[in-house]
Amino acid sequence: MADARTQAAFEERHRQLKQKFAERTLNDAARLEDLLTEFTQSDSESGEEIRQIAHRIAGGAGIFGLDRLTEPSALVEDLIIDKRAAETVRTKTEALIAHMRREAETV
Amino acid sequence: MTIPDGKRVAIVDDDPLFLEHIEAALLREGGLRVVKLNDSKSLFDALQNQSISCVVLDQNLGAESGLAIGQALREQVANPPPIIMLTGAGSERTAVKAFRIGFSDYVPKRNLQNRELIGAIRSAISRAEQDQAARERTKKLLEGERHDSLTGFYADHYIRARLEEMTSGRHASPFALIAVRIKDSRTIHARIGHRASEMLFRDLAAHAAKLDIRGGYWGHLGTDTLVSVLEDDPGEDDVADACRLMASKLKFTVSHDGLSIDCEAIVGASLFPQDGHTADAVIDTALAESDRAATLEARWATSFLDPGTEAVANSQLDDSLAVPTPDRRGMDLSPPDGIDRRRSDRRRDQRYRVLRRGRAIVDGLHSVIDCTVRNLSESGAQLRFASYFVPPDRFKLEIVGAGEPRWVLVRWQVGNDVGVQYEEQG
Repeated sequence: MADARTQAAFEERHRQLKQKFAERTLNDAARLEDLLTEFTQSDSESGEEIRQIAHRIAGGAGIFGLDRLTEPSALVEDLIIDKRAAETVRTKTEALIAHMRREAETV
Repeated sequence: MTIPDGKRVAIVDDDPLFLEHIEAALLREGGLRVVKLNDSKSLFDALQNQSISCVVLDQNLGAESGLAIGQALREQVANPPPIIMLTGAGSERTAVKAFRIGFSDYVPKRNLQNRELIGAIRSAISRAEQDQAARERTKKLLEGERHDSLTGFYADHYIRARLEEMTSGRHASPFALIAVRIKDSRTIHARIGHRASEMLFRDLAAHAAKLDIRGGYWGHLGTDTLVSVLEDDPGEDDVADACRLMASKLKFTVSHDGLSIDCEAIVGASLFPQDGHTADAVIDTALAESDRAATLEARWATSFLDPGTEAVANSQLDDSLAVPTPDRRGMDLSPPDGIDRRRSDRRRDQRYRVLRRGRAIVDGLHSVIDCTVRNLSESGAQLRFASYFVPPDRFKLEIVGAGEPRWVLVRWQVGNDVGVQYEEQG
């Protein structure tokens, strides 16, 4: 009985955290859009911030049930680490933003 | 479950939502309590104040690198808990580096499975416990040994047993105890870490072994104290001479990662039975005398000389260093090899005490962080940052007005102070 209550409390907490993660993902999508307006190369301040956001999403999406965000965010992170061409990063980041909005709104 | 409930695991990550989730999942699914931390400073504080069985470190902590923190932890914390690296960018190279530094395991953060992380934590703790048990067994075996493996002198338990014998009952016999420690040893320990401090202590013992203390033998007491025991009722003059000899000769400079560290011994002496009727009382008095010497900015102190005589004797120490006086009791006052040569001969690189402006240029972050260059040599420098900052393993250092920036490797960090070594060129 006590175990069932603990399980219920754990699930409720997880649901709240997932909700917060979805809200933050929407904010992150807006921030990524802003960053893209000034983004010209991977090796730059805006590139580093894009990488940080992508890293955070790649690490958190799986545990909060937004698995479909893991791959596109990991891709953006890796492209910037590999200092790939700005246009490639831009295209993949735009795709990621669209994914983020779609997934977060389903939560 | 192999691990009892309530093991405490420190998780270091800069994402508060991730930390919240892991805290709940590890408790629920692994019976593990989580200490949530977001940077290296809070990790070092937690390791000092709590019992932590395992550390899970995110490789990417914004301005900090998990690899650098893990390395600092292993160098500066005695008996550190196992460390697991958590990373989003799971490159093979990072994993290899992590294992080389001594991380216990490596778990990809992308698509992280709670069970995988819990399994890695459990087996890391279990391996660390097995290692600890093996160390305990070795320690037990060594307890039968008379000699200490670090210094080669009599071991702590042997010295204590001998002092007990000499202070008890019918076998009681007057003796003197001289305690020798490295001045400011705690500060030095904090600066260069545990392993390097042990090497320094070993150097002290090697220098001490070369001194000819008539009727005396050496032992290693506790972690940072050498003791010399003079048996058979030595005269106060003999004890004072031995203290003066130690204070003048146990002074040396060692090089640690390109930086020079000046070490000098602080000496304190006590007598049995004058200073107490138990071994502990005599030990405590000798240690208190060495503390008193440090407080008075002197090199040695005894429980039996009057302070005026001590002050004069201490003030003559530097003279006795430069011109050894003839020894009326046959003690060998010739300079032990390497101890009192001029310091510049001993150093690999001449060190300059400087205060110059420097800039750490951190690749990838595109940031330039100002610092003060405090010590500088051909091979490295000591930097002080205005606020706490963990640099990456390698960055460019520009010393203002001294030419082009050069690549440096971080060798140690204590608080805001960072020791760096210039990278070999070419």
